[in-house]
Amino acid sequence: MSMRDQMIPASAAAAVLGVALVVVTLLNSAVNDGTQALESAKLAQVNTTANSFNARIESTVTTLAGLGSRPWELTTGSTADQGVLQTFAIDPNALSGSFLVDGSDTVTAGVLLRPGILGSTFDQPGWQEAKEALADQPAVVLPVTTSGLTTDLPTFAFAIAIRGTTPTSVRGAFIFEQALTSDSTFSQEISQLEDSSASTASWLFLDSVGAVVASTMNSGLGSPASDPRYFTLPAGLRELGDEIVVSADVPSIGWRVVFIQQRSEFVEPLAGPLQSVGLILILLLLAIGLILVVVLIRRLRQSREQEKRLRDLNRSQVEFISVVSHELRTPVSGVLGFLQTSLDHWETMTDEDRHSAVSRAFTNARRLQAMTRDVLDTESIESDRFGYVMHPTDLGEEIRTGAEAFSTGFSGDEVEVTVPTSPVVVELDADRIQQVLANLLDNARKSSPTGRPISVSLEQLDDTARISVVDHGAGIDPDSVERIFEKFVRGRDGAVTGTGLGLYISRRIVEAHGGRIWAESQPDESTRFIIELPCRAAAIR
Amino acid sequence: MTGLTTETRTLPTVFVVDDEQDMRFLARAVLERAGLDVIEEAVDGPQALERFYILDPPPVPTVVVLDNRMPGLTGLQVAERMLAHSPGQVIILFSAFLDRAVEEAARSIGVAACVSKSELRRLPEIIRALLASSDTCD
Repeated sequence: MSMRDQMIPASAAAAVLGVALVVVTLLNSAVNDGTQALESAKLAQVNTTANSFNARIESTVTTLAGLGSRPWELTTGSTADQGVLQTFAIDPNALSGSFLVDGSDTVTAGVLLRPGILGSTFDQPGWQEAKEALADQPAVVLPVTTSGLTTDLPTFAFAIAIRGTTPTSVRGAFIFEQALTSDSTFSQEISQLEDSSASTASWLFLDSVGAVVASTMNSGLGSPASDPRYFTLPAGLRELGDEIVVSADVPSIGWRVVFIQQRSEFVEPLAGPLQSVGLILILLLLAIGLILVVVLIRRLRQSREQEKRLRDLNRSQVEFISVVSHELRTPVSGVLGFLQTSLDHWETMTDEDRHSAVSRAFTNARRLQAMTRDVLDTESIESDRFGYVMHPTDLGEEIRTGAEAFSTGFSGDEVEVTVPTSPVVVELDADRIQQVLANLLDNARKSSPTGRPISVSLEQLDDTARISVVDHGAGIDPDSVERIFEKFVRGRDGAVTGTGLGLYISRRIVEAHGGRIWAESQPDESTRFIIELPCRAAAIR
Repeated sequence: MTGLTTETRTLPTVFVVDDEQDMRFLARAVLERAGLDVIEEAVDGPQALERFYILDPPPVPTVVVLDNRMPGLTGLQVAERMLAHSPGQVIILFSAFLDRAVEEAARSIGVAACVSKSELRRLPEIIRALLASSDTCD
C-alpha cells in the first residue's frame, strides 16, 4: 500500500486510541472525584464517632464526679469506705473494680483487689499527671495499663477527685478500673462500625499514650498501636504507605479514634466498577478500532485493486487502439498493394502471377474481415447484443466441418481430427462454435512450426463433451496461461500480431453455452486448448 | 565482364525485413520491377541482424527496408544496431503505422526515411531519391 493508504487506517486507529484516552481520562477523573467523596464520608464518620464518644465520656465523667463528694474516710482498711465500695460491686464476675487512694497515694480500700494491695502505694504510670489534673477537673482517665489493681487483664481507669476543704483541693481519688476485653464497652462501640465486607479495614481506640483500648481486630489490647504514627500524626485523613488512615481525637480524655484500611480496598467499591466499565469500554473501542482499521484496509485494498484493474484496462484499451490501428492497416496495405501492383503490371503479368496476386489480396481481405468481426463481436458481447441460435447438434460433425474448412481454406495446413463414430449431441449455436474452432485452429497454425500437424479431438465424458486442440509450437508462458482469455491480451510466445480479442470472444461464447475453456501448455513442446460443453440442456447465460 | 562489373556496382541492392510474408512478396515485386535488386529477406529482427552481418555492408545492401512492428525486436531497435555496426547505412522504416513519435525516434537514431506501407508504389522512387541525395553529399 502507498503511504497515503497507510495513513488512513493509521489515522482511524489514532482516532480510536484518542477516544479511548479520553474515556480513560474521564474515568480517572470520575474515580478521583468518587475517591474524594469516599474519603470525605469516611472522615465525617470517624469525626462523628469521636464526637459522639467524647460527649458520652463527658457525660460519664459528670455522673462519676458525684462519687468524689461522698464523705470518704480515706483511712487504710476503713470499713465504712469498704462498705460503700461493696455496693458498687454488683456483679462479682464483672471485669471491673474500684478502690480509694488517699492524698499520699496509699490504697486505703477497694473491691476485687488482688491480695496485698491494700495499704500499698498507687504508682501507676500517669497517676501523678492525673492527680495534678484532678485539681482542675472532677475526673480524668488514666492511661491503659497491664498492672491494674483489680485484674490481671489490661485495664484503663477513671480517677474521680475526692475534694478537701476547698473546691480545688484533692484529698484523694476514687479509682474505677475497667478491664479491656473484646466485649468491653469500647469494643462493642466500634464493632458496630465494622464493615464485614472490608477485610483490611479496622477501627481502633487509642488512649492518651497511644495504647490500644479497643480494636475490631480483637488483638493487641493494652499494647501500643502497630504503627505509632496512628497516634502521633495530626488527626484527619492520611496515607501511610499503601494504607489510608483516618483519625479523630476525643478531646475530653486525650484518646483517638482511628480507622485504617488498605487504599486499594478503600476505593474498590467505586473504582472497581468504574475500572471494569472503563476496561470494557476500552476493549470495545479497541475492538471497534481494530475492525475499523481492518475494514478500512480491506476497502482501500479493494479500491486500489479496482483502480489498478481500471488502469490496466485503460492501458489495454490504449494498446488495443494502437494494435488495432496497426493490425488493420497491415491487411489493408496487403489488399491495396496486391491490387495496385496487379493494375500497374497487369499487361506484363502471367496468369499465374495474376491469380497469385488476387488470391493474396483476397487472403488479406479475409484477414481484415476477421479482425473487423472480432472488434464488432467484442462490442456486441460487451453490450449483451451477441445473440445465439441454439439447436441440438452433433459436435463431432461440427469439428469435422471446421477442420476441413480450415485445411482447404486459405491456410492449407493439415489438421488431424479424432471424433467418436457415434454422435455427440450438444445444444449449440453452430456458427459461434465454428468461430471458436476457427480461432483456436488459427492460433495453433500461427504457433506451429511448418510441417507439424495440428490435432483436434472430441471425446464424451458422461454428460460433458470435451474438445482438445493441440499444437506443437513454442507454448505459452505459464504466467500468461490464465490471462490469455482476457480482453486485449495478446502474445503467444511474444507474438505481437492479432487484436487480442479472439480467445476472449471464444471464452465468452463457450461460457454462453454453459461450458468452459482453458489452456494447458508445456513451453517449447505443445499447447492444448480444452473446451468442455454440456451434452444436455444448453445453459444460455 | 567490364559491363557486368559496372552494372553490379551501380545496381542498388535492397534488404527487405518484414514479418508479413505478403509484404515481403509485394516489396520484392515492386522493387524488382523498378530495377532494384532485392538480395535478401528476413522475417524478424534477430534474423535481420544475423543476415545483415553476413552481408557485411558496405556496399551490400545499399538500402534496408525495415518494418517496425515485428516479433522479438522492433524495426527501430534493429535499425539502431545496424547503424551502430555500419554507420551511414541507408535504412527506410517501412511501416503500416507511422506516427510522430515513431518518426522522431527514427530520425534521432539516423534512419534515412519513414515510408508508409500505403506508399508501396513510391518505394523505388524514394529509394532512388535517397541514393541520389547520398551520392551528392558524398
